[in-house]
Amino acid sequence: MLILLIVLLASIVGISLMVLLNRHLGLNTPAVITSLEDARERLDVDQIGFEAGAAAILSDDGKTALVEERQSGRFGLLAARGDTIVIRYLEPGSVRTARMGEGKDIELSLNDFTFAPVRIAIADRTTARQWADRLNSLQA
Amino acid sequence: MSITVPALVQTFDPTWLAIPIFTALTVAEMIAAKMTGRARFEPKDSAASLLMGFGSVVAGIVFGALTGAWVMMVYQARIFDIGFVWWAWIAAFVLDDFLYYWSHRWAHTVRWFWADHVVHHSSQHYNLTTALRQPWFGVFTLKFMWLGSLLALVGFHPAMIGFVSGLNLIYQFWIHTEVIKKCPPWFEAVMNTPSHHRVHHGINARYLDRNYAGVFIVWDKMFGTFQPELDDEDIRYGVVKNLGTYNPLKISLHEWFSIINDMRRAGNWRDAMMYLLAPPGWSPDGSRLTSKEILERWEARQSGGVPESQTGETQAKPAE
Repeated sequence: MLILLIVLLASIVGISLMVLLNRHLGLNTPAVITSLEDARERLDVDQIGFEAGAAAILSDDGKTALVEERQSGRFGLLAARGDTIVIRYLEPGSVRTARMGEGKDIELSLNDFTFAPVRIAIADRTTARQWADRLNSLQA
Repeated sequence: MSITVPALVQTFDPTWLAIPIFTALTVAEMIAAKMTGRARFEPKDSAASLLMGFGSVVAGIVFGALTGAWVMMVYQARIFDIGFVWWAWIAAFVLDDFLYYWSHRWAHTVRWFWADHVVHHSSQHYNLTTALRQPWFGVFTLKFMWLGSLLALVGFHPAMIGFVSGLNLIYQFWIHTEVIKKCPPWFEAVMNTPSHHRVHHGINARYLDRNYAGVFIVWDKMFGTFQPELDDEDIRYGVVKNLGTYNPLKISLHEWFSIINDMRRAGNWRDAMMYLLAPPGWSPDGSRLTSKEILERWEARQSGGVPESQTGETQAKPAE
């Protein structure tokens, strides 16, 4: 039993050291969505046949993008998480809240516990407000 | 007939012994990533994977008594007394890998089993920490009661089964890397390799539900699920609906919750059971896509056909 505890404790120490080494080596490059065209291409790859509509926005920091789908009216949401991009398709019922945060950002929470809340940085407050309203219209 | 268990399998657990080797190789891969850029790491993702591995070891200790007792009980009703003769080790290793192939295949094609196995596929990275991203609640699939007990029923001693399945697990560690591109052709032809297993972790339409092998890739070639790695397309790793969290508990449980929610909302018993037992991505109205349907859409596009309008949501990667 003692040996087992020692092994488990040593494992935790080992895990911590490996994560620290990982961080120290700087092996990750933060993901960025370079343009709306990049966002559309990613959505098309993710969901074959995704046809982008007119409404779309890329956040100022390139960390988030929203692209409307032409026929269905739902939105493809792309969000940078570390060095990867995570995609969700927002339909009625998908959005929990889309609040205007400090400054001009939108703080978006989904009804999806596998998707941590995301901050969408939009320079123009009026535009940000319009998008927040649009997202809030997708609440249940 | 009384069978004496050799001291080797009584005192020697290959998986525990392998932990320091796993650690050393992972560190070596990180250094190789820094030097060559041939592997990608994200600290939070690595932390999640390593914690999942740690949790699976703890789960093995917690649930081990239950599964071990069950297999011992089945062994009492064995058909043959195979014992520990030399050829039995080889036979057990090969047959265990054969059963692994089918168990793994069903883990991708039956959502109940996928709920457990999705954990291993839930990283968008493919490095040695991904190998350690293992589920905690595999016992809930109840596979140990039938598939996991089959060799014991035939007559292989549970200690021998545990030993060879440990070796199988150890073999599968090193193939989770992008650092090694290709192995010698004879090796690629027979054995599971990093190249073959990268395909398995890919979510590109052509790679979904391919290469289920554990050690010997020949099973995939025999049963029509082999797909070589192609040079014309970068591999995207993960699941069709990737996770936006590094929380190990959420990683462990998300698909179980998803199944429960779907079953609760199902209009009838048949649909509820289909949500549990049909391939991942199945839905009564076709609003989600299974692996097969994703591949069909991809092929339609390649052949110039117009894809059907996309109205649904692709769900979990239907295919470790």
